[in-house]
Amino acid sequence: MIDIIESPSSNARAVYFAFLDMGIDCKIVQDAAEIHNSKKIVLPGVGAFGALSKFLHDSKLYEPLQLRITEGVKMLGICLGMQLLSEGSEESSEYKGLGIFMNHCKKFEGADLRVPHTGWDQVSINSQHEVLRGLSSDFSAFFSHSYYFPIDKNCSFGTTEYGVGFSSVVAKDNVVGVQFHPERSQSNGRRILSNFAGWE
Amino acid sequence: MIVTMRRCNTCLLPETHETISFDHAGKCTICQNRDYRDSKIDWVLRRQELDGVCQDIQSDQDYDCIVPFSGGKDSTFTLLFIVRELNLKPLVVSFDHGFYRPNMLTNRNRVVENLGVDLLTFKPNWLLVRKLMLQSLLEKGDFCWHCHTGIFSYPMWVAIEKKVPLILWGETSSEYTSYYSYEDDEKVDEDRFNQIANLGITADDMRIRMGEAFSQRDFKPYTYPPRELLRELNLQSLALGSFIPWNPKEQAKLISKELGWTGDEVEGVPPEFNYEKIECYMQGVRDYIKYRKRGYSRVSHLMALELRKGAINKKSAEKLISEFEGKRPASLDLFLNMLGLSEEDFEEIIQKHRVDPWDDRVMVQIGKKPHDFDSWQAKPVLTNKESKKTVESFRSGSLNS
Amino acid sequence: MLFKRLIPKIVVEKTESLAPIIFKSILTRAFEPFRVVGDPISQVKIQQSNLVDEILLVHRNKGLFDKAFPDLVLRSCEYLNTPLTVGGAVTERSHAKILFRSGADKIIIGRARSNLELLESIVSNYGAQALVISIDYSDDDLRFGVNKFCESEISFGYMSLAGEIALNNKSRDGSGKGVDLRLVKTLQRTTKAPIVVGCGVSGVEHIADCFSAGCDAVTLSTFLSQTDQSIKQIRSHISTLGVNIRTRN
Repeated sequence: MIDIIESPSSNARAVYFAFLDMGIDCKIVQDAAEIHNSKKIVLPGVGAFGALSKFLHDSKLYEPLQLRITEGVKMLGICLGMQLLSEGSEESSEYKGLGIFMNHCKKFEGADLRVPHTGWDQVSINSQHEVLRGLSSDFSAFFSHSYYFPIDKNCSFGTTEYGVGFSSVVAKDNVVGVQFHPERSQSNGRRILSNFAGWE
Repeated sequence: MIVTMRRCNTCLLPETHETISFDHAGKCTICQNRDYRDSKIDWVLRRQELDGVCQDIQSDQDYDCIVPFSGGKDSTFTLLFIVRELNLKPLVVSFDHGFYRPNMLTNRNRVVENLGVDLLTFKPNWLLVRKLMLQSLLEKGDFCWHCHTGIFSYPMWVAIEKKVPLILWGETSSEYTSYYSYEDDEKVDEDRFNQIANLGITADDMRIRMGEAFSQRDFKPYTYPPRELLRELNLQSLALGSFIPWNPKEQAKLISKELGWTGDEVEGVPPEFNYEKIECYMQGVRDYIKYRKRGYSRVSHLMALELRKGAINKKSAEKLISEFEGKRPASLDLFLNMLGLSEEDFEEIIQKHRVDPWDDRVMVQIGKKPHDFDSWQAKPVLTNKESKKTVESFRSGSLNS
Repeated sequence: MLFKRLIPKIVVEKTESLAPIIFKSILTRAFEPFRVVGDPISQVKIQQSNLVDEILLVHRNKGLFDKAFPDLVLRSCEYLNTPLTVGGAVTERSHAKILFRSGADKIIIGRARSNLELLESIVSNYGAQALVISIDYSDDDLRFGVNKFCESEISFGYMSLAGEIALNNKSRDGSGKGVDLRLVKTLQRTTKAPIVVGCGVSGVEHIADCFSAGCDAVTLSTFLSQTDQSIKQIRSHISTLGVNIRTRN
């Protein structure tokens, strides 16, 4: 059973329907009690860093999530959900991330750069990961974000170039994050979700 | 002005071919597909997968599988393989698009009688078919919507009705186009139907575009079954070409030898390719329209296959193309009469479907009448008045639905 | 490198015919309904099968948000694995909220682009990338020049909020005369947001022209509906013309 955390503005349902369509058991959860016995957790996120961080605190999910992670529960962070795995973001400097990765998210800057980074772009796989199994070494996925997670050789498993190189896939132990939207990235995205479901 | 179209430097297919693109060396995606097929696929493994599928067949079903059958070389070879090589009991399903040639019917009888199989033929309502042909010609510059959709949908309904959870088709699409590559896991499913078969119009869409004059059940043969029904049956819809390498020329020889299948004279095609597209007498009009839209047609396609194998050189290929391609077929008169269209109506319709950069300024040459032309069955035709009404309604938008 | 995008545009209208198909997809000319062309759910499925980059689903309803529209969005999203932008008379926060909950990834806003409070609310709750602002105009609007028109749009104050700007010239809509690109350069200097254009495509060369002019995406409606050139075919063809478009997954 995969537990998908639903924050007020997230697209948890899109992720939920994607798993269901593949015959994978999942449910949408909204509070701490519901993740007490989680085997796997997905944190989708859309919108502002601060708003998602605040939601996690207000719904008392923040510490339980961190606890589940230290207990080894496998977790997938999607888009803003991935950024929340970091320490924090330029976007909302007063709010903290879950601190799984010691990085800070930055805003895309550049004279000729269109922002947000919207559309299909290529992910180059730097290191193999269970969640990336079966994907080609350069695969395309759908991105939609204005802030990015910088490259860090300790945790970047996949990178993308957009004015600057950034982490499109990060991982550490039982946690993985993807900056793009696997639930909207057609067969590549479905493969990632299915790999996450099958990840032992 | 003669337009120079960009062409693949291996197979000569032009840039107006659907789904073609070229690599840095000027080689097209279909040639690249072919290279992959010939070098990277483990056909032994693929055959084992097919054997695995066959082993899972339950013994209490009426049939082991459904085999859709057009009477052409590909479906005939598929049937031969399934019966003699895989030892399966198929139900052969023939969707009659309305234009079977006499030789095709003779072939079909000979084949099914020699193989010892059950055959089901379905002939849809002609009064609807002729309207679909006209509507589809207007919408997409392609009058074969009923055939593309019927051939791929109807056998699925038979499988559901007869509770037979396996359908085996012939070649994969990656033999001829790059909607899929050989690296993809190409299933003959709704996604493929939506890309290749229905021209971007489902049965519901077509019914609505025709002003809802026909009911949903009239459109059932053209409607892809809903996912829930297919999942309930756990239906697998697979192409034999995913499991064995496809060789049309050799396969045609084999079915002639084993089953007495014979080729036929085909409009606009060099006689040495008499195994190609022999089953439909509207093939000549279809190929002609493609030429007018895209500047290439069936001969280019056949030459591309030969060039890829190294069986012909470019000069000879170009010669055959210029000799046989682009001629106005004798069957066009039959077609126009059937749909109540004048030549001017026809020209106006197809010119709107020209694909950049082909500019369609060609000398119209007249093609030869095939030997069985006079036997191509006369059918109740659309009157000029009826067809003008449909054309006018299409042009003006007509919101009254 | 970020690919250019091709986006089928499905415009819907509610009809009086019987269920189950209540909304029908239509083609427009000069933004007015021209022809009914099918079932929008079919169209969403077909485009997804063709591996389009995104889908745009718009309810044409003259300023009145229809409560049945979110249900159509929800049904469209049932097996959807492609990004979806929706719009149609979104004038209040509650409209946006229900559309996002129904599965939309982005919302497109046209008339209400002067309603900064609404736009700010969407951006603060869902992020700028969730907001597409549509500038619908006609040749007549440009009669005092491109700069004058752009100044007036800038004065509304929405440029810094937009996650994307969509340009739609009514005079070209359904005309097949090619896309109007006169506003593109000025807008590229004014906003960092990606620019989406549409209205008037009747050939692959029109599409290539849009990308040559620096646009990020092109929407297609009549061209897809009334020719046999599908998105997959168009993608291959324009990649031959040198456009950086996704041709393989």
